[in-house]
Amino acid sequence: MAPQQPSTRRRRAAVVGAGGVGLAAMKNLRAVGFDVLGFDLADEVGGNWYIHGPTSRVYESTHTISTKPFTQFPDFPMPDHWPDYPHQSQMGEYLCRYADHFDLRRHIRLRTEVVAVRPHDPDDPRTRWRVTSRGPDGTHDDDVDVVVVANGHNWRPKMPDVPGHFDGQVMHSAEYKSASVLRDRRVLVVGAGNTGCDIAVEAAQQGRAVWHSTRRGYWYAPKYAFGKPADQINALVSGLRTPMWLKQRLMQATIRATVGDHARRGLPRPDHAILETHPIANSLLPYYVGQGDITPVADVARYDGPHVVLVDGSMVEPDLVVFATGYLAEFPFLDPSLIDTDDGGRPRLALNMVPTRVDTLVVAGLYQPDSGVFTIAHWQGVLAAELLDAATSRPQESDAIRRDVLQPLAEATSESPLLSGGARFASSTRHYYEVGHQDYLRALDRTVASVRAVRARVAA
Amino acid sequence: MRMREWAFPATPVDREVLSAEPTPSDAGPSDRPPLLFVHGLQHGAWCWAESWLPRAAAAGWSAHALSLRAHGGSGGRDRRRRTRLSDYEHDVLQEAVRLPRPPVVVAHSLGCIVASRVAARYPFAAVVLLTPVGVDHAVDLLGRTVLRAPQHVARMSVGLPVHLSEVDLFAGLPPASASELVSRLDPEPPLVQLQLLVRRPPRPAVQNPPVLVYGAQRDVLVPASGVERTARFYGTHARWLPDIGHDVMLDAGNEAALDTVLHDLSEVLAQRAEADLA
Repeated sequence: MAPQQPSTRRRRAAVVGAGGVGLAAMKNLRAVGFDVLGFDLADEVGGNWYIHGPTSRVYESTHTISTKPFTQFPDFPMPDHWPDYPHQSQMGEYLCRYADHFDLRRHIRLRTEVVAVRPHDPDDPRTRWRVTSRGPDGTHDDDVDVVVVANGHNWRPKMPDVPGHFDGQVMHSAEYKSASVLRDRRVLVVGAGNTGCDIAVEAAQQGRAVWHSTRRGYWYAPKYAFGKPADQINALVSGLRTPMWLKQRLMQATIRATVGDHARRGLPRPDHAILETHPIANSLLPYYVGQGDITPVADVARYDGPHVVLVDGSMVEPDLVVFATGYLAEFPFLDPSLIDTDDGGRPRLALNMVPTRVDTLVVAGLYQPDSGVFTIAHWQGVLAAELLDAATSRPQESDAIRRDVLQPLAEATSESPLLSGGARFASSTRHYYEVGHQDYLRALDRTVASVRAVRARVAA
Repeated sequence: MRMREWAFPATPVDREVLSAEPTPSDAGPSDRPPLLFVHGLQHGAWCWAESWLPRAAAAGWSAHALSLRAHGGSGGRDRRRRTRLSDYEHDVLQEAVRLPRPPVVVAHSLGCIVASRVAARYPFAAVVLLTPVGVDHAVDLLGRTVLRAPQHVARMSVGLPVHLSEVDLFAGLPPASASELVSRLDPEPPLVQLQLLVRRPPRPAVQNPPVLVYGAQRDVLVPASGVERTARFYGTHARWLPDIGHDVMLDAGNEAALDTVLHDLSEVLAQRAEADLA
C-alpha cells in the first residue's frame, strides 16, 4: 500500500486529450483541487470538432445530429441565436469558449503527443503515474497522481479487407474533408452511418453517379418531426417513461408515416428495430434515393479492375470508392490490461469508465449515445473528479466506494439494460460503446449520488 | 435529468444587458471576476443603472445587469403569460456564459430565487443575495403582506399582477423620486407570481462559492425570517444594511450599501483564493 500522501502537497492530474470530454474532466478536477495537466496532439482544443486537428474526422459540412439542449454542457449553454443543429465550426468555437471561460487553456500542452502512461506500481490500486509526452520542445516525463484518458475513439479508421485490385481511387471517410473531391465523379459510398449518408448525399449533389452500399437496411430518421427537432420529441416520449418496445414502435411508425416506406425506394428493409443500431439522422438520403440520384446497392464482395463486385453478384463501375466504415478505439500509450481489455481488443469498464485494477485512472468519452455528447461528458467529469479525489485523499472512502458502488456496477457496460434502456444493440464494433443517452445519464447521476452518500457516511 | 428543459427548451428572446466597465486607471486586480446583477419582481436592469453600475465600475469592477424577459428593454413581452421561472434561469445562465469568466451574481428579491437555482448548476465566482424572498418559498412574505397590504395578496391569488408602491420599496426617498421610479415598474408575469408561493426544495450551489446574504433594516416587504432562512441554508449569517428599504440599489443610502457589499465581497473572494492555493 502506497504511503498516504502528505495533505499539504497539491495533487496533480493528467488528462490525455483536450476535446470536449477532456476539457470537462479538467474543469471538474480543478474544482476539487487538482492541478491539471492536459495534453492534445492538435494546435487547438476541441478534439474532433477542431477540423484542422490531426485526429479530427469532421468535414466542411458536418453538423451535429442532436440539437443544442442535448449537445451542450449543462452549465454552459450555446448561444440562443445558434441554429438547432450547429455547424462544425460553431462546435469548434463553442469548445474554445468553454476552455476560455473556465480558464483551462493555460493548463494544456498543445501539439503534444502522450507516448506512454505507466503506473509507478502496477500492483497498487492507488498507484501514481508517469506520463511521457513528446511536444514541440522535446520529450518530457511528468509524475501525476491520477490520469483521465480522453483521447477519443473515433479517429483510427476501420477499413474492411476487400480482395482483388481496383483501378480507381479508394479512400476512408477519415480523409474526407470537402465535397469538392466528389465533383463530377462516379462514387461508391460504403457504409450507412451518419457520415456515409452525408457523403452519399453530397455525392448526389456534386457527382455524376452515386451508389450507396450498405450491409443491412437501416432506419433513416428525419431531423424534424411534428414541427420540432426530432430529438426533442423523443425526449418527451422518453420523459413519459415510455417502455422501449413502445417507443420503438412509435418512432418506426412516425418514420413510415413521414419519410415513407424505405423498401419502396429500393432501400433494403431494416432487419432490426430502431435504436438497436446507432441512430442515423438524415432527412436527405431517402429524398435523393427517391429522386433516383442515389442507387442503393448490396455489400461489397471484391474488386475486379474497373469494377466493384457486390455480394449479390451485380457490379458497379465507380472511379472513387469511399469507405465510411467507422473507427476503432485505441489507447496506444496504455497497457491494455490496465483498462480490462478483452481478447477482442475491447475495454470492458464499469459504466464504460472505471477499470477494476486501479482507482487512480478513469477512461472518459468512451460512449456512443443516441444523442449528443457533452451533457454526458460533464457528468462523467463530475464522477471522475469524485472518484479520483477520494482515491488520492481519503483511502477509506475510496475503498468503500469500490466495494459499495463500483463492484455492483461491474456489469454495467453497453449491453446492460442500465445503459441501453432495453434496446438490444446490434453486435458490431460500431456498437461496442453504444448507450441510451437518457439511461446513461440517469446511471451517472445515480452513481454520483451514491458515491457522495458513501463518502459522507464514511467521513462521519 | 432535465426532461422538461430538453423537450421544451426556453424560447430565445432578445435580452437587454446594461454594462459599466472601469476605466484603465480604476481597474481592480486582473483576477477580479465580473459582476452580474439580477433584478427582482417588476424591475429591470434600469434599477442597477441608476446608481450601482457606474459606482461599481468606478470602484474597479466590470459590472453588468440584465433585464429578464418581459422586463426593462428585453423582449418576450408578447409571451408574458407563458413566462415562468425556468425562463428567467435560462436568461441568467445565457448572460453568465457570455462573460469572459464566471461572474459574481448579485441578485435582488425575486432575482435571488432565480440566482439560487442557476447557482445549483453553474459555478458562479460568488453569490450575493440582497433582500432575498426566501430560498425555498415565499409563504412568510405572503403572511406579512396579508396584514400590511392585503390588496397585493388578493391580486396575486387571482393571477393579477401585484402593483408595488413607493412605501413597499423605499424608506428614505423624496415622494417625487419614489413615484418616478415606481412608474417604471413592469407587471410581473402571473405564472411567476404563483410559482413564488409554491415550495421548492433549494439546492446547494455547485463548487461551493462564497455566499453573502443581506437584509435591509427598513424593508417592509421581505420578512427577516426569509433572509435568515436563506442565510442558514447557505451556511452563512444574514448581514443587515442599516437604514434602508427594500430597493437597496435605489433608496436613499444606496451608495453606502454598495460600498459595504463590495468591501465584503472583496474580502470573501480574497479569503477563498488563499484557501484554494493551500
